[in-house]
Amino acid sequence: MLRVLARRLSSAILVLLGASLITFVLARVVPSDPALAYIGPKATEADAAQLQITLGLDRPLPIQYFKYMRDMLSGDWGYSLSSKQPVLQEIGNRLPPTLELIVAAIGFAALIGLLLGVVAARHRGGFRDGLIRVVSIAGVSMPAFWLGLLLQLLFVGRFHLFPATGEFDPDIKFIHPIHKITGFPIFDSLITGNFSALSNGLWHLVLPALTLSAYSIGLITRMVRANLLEVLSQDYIKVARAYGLSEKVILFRLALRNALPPIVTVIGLSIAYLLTGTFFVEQVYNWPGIGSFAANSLLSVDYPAIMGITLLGAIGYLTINLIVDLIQAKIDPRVRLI
Amino acid sequence: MKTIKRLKNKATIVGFAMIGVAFICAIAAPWIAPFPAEGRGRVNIDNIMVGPGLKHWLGTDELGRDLLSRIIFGARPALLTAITVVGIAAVVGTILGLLAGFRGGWIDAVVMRVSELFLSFPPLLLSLVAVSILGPGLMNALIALTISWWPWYARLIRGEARSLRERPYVEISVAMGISQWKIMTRHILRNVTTPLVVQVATDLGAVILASGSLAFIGLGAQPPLADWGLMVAQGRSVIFDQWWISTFPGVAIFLIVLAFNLLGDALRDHFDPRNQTS
Amino acid sequence: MTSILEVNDLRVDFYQNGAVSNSALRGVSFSLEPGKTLGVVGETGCGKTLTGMAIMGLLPPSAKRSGTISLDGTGFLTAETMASVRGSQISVIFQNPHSAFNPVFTIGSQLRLVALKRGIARNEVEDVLTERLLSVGLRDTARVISSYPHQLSGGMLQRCMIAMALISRPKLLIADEPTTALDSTIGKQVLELIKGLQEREGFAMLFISHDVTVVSEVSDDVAVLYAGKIVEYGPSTQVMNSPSHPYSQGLLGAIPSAAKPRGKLSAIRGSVPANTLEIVGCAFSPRCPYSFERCAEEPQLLSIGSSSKAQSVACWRTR
Repeated sequence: MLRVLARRLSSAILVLLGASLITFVLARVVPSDPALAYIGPKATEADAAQLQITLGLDRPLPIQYFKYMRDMLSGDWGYSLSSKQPVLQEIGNRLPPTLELIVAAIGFAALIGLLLGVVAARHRGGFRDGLIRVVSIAGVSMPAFWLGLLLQLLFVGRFHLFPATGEFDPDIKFIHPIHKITGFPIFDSLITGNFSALSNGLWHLVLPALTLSAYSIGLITRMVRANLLEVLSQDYIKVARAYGLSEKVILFRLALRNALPPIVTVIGLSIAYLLTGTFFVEQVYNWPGIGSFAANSLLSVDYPAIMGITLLGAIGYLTINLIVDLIQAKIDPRVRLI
Repeated sequence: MKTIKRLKNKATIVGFAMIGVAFICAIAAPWIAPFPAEGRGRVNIDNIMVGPGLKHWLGTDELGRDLLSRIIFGARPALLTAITVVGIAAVVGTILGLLAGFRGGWIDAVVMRVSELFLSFPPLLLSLVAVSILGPGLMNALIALTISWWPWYARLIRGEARSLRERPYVEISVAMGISQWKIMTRHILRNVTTPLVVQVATDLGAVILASGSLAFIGLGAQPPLADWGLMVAQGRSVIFDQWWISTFPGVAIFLIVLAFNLLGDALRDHFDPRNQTS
Repeated sequence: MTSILEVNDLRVDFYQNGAVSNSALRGVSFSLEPGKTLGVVGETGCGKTLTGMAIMGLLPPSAKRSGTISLDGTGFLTAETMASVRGSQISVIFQNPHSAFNPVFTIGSQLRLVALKRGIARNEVEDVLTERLLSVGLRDTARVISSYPHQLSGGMLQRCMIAMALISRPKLLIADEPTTALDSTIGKQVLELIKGLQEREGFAMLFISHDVTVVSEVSDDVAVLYAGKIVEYGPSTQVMNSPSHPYSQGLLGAIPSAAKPRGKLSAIRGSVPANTLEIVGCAFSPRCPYSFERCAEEPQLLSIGSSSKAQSVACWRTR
């Protein structure tokens, strides 16, 4: 197992090298004058030339790439142009709220998706199946940013059930300050017993998580249904019936277990979609995470930040795939990690 | 079985109808739209943010433009983006995938490594970065989306081509000395059509969703163009009071993406050998 | 002796949009005595497997069964009673052992599930499994129990399948082409095993196969099925030695036999009708070399000869 993991990690490093190359090319080679982008259009030519030398942009590209990689590995991801903060620090600050949002969204999507998929497969061809089909296709067709606005309009504007934006009410940090332990605000308020902050945080989490999960709910539902039906048509299910096992045992203990590997894959894929989904959803809800940071950096062409986010995205995506593969090997005896 | 079949048939017809309406809107926008000039972007300062009513069925936006006209004109960039991106991505991806899958060797290695590299980022991330660097705008969004879309096709087609290459009839053709190009176009291309068509139908919707998202955060189409994603963004700040400005363009995106998804589903079912009744 | 299985006028109709779209079984009757074997032969699509499935109550939802099936003289089986005897009094072995076992569970856990379902006490389950696996000739039982299906060979898996089928000590075993998917030598071993187990445990068997030689080796009686009907029925030796229906003759003639090395292989031309609804008269007549005017009428299955052991044939030529 350990050797397999080592081999997997080494191939992951290769992919990351490639990914870093792409980010490098995008940020340093594609723009006609990166230095100009650094200091803005009002700078004089002399300033630009000086900056070129400071940033090492006058050196040959391979050397620039080497320096870029060395900086990246040593934890120097550069400074954000708009906030003037180190990119890595910025990411560190903004990652926890985003991860909390993603965890909530994927948990929600997996739960609902599994439930709907099982019900649809169980009542194949019936009314419930049809209804769930409509819901799942609607889910994958819904623009997340628009759904976010609609939910705000409905649940905030009309029914006043949820707060519109943000991660906590602004006064929470004065009345019930959250002690920073792990850096994950909702999790921290849970483990420190700060239940006012916890409930307030969860209250703020509902709408963004729901918005973010809509696509995944559709995706997971469809996948669960299709795979369950596929499994239920297999010979070994016929055998189980022939041996008198009850439909409940067949569906929940056998078929769902058989359908699990593709379901795990689609949940992994869903998380990948969520990663970029946060860019739009966090914008709508002013969520202080990576997503809104990314959207703003992209808009202001903040190169160091964009490079950091791109690399972070690749790392995140790679990690998800790695975890999915490991789980896959664990749950499917036929899969061998290579 | 009957309920779902009837539902599916109905859904397919509705999907086709919605796509048809979108195309008619795109082509005949100046004649259909009640206020064609406003659809193109002319400001009407006397009519700002009028709610839905008899004169303006869907209301007007923050510059007084008739929303219905804007939405009808918005079908143009949406369909244009979808068709161009998917078209180029499918053609490029198919050619590369066929070459890689059929020729194997170094071509395969290069094509697959490069597409793997592109696929090692979360979906849409590369497009976002590319459009940020190229600068916002519909044209750049189009380029950026194409850049990150072709590897999906390359991988899909390469997989199909590889499994087909092992089939007896292809091997026989090779043995008989028929030129590779002929084999590729005759056997392989004909056989990969099914997965390709299904993928294209679903992707048309996905690209509209993606370009809408780009426009929403300000990286796609720019004002005064009537683009659905952009229109949703423009109404965002007044969502609680002038709800229609964001809502209706979003409905347009939702419906057209839904329509393409329904079409994709219908095609998949149609081509699925398990559904073929004798 | 009372029969263990009594099937009377069994019909299976498939429905589409509320109307019968195909009659797959068109009135099949036979009986089976304890410890005996009835072989069911016919080409693919004749309704062999469907007969087995109908007895188990495992027809697809679009199919409807009529006619009566009674087990061990306890009255007719309904959908509910079928579910209760399925897997306990009636067991089944399927054709392909590779697809019959669930790939993500170990053999042991699959056998255990069946054993527990059969009411075997938890602390006895392991002993029962070991004993059953030994009885089917698997020696390394601990390894087999902890193996996943893909780790075992087809022959071993089929032995496990038999072990699973016999956990409940059934009165009737339905063996649906149990050797077809195996190599011929392995198939022979499995066949020997089944026969040995039948002698020891005394279950009756419905042996379904397209392979006439295999059927003749294991069966006491044989039923030849064509297009959802029995066209010839009788003691195995008699049907094998003097087949009276042209279809049986064709099936037997299609066997390359050592006795007539240069004899022509009279494979039957044509194929089984896909849909029995279009059949007029004798279903076999379009493929029959002896077909004549009478064949436009449907022949009944009637006994030929006077002895009680005589075979029955559904053919106008024998009248």
